[in-house]
Amino acid sequence: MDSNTILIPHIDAALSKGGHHQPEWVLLMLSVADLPSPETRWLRTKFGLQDDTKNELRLPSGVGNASIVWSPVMQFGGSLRNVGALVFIYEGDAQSSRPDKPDTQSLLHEIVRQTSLQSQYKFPVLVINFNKQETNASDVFPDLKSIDRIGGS
Amino acid sequence: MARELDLYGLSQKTTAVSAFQVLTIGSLADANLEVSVRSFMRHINARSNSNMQDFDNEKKRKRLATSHNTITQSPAGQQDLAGSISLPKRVKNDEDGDGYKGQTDRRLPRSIESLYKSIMSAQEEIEVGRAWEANELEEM
Repeated sequence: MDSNTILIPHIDAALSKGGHHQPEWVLLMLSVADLPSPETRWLRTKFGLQDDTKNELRLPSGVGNASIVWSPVMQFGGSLRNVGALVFIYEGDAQSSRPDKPDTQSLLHEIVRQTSLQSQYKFPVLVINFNKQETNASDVFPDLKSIDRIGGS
Repeated sequence: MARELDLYGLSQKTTAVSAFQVLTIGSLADANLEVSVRSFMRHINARSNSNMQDFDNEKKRKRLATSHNTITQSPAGQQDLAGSISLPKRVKNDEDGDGYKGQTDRRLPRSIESLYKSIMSAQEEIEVGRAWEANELEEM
């Protein structure tokens, strides 16, 4: 997957329409897992984050300053102001089996709530669940009233 | 999956999210990430988020509100806010009969009355104290 050719046209088109001057725009990828796994490494590679130490990637946007930022959820201390798209990644079930860990649903709800309050942009949310018990599938909820099933295999 | 994360409930709480998409990957080898990411990127619009709370401005507003409250709670602050003129200046301006007269006519009596009450109250306390001391001495 060439992330630049997939991401940049959409980002530039959106920023051009937005009418912002030299806008900052961030694709924020938050992983529930604190430590890297084969699955998260695979995903990071797909988005151009090649090694474990690299958590930010500048995208060659022709309109503004666009970047991808990766962080474990609980270690994220950056700004949400410029988040234009949010990717939330977790492995296994949404319910935490450990009482000392917040469950995935609570984390997702809090992240979306905080981003809604702090980002200057409206943003879509992509939830990626690595789950060996499930078959691959992709669901889109444009307005949560109708559910269109797309892609998947 | 969506039911498990209650995306519907989440979507009811905000209008800032343009779309939710859920991608379940059971096998990396079969995953068609590109199709999902392309679909996801179509929902990017960079429109202004009306839910946004400007925390910098909010902090400034709270700081101003706090300092405003502090000023208005102090007697000196009340004088300053009443007309941005301290009491001695107002009296002087009133005596001079300059342009502040209208404003001071309206507010000066209240200021003097308040000051007078404060002085009288203090005076009464002093006198009560003196009387108590005198009683104590007489009893000895």
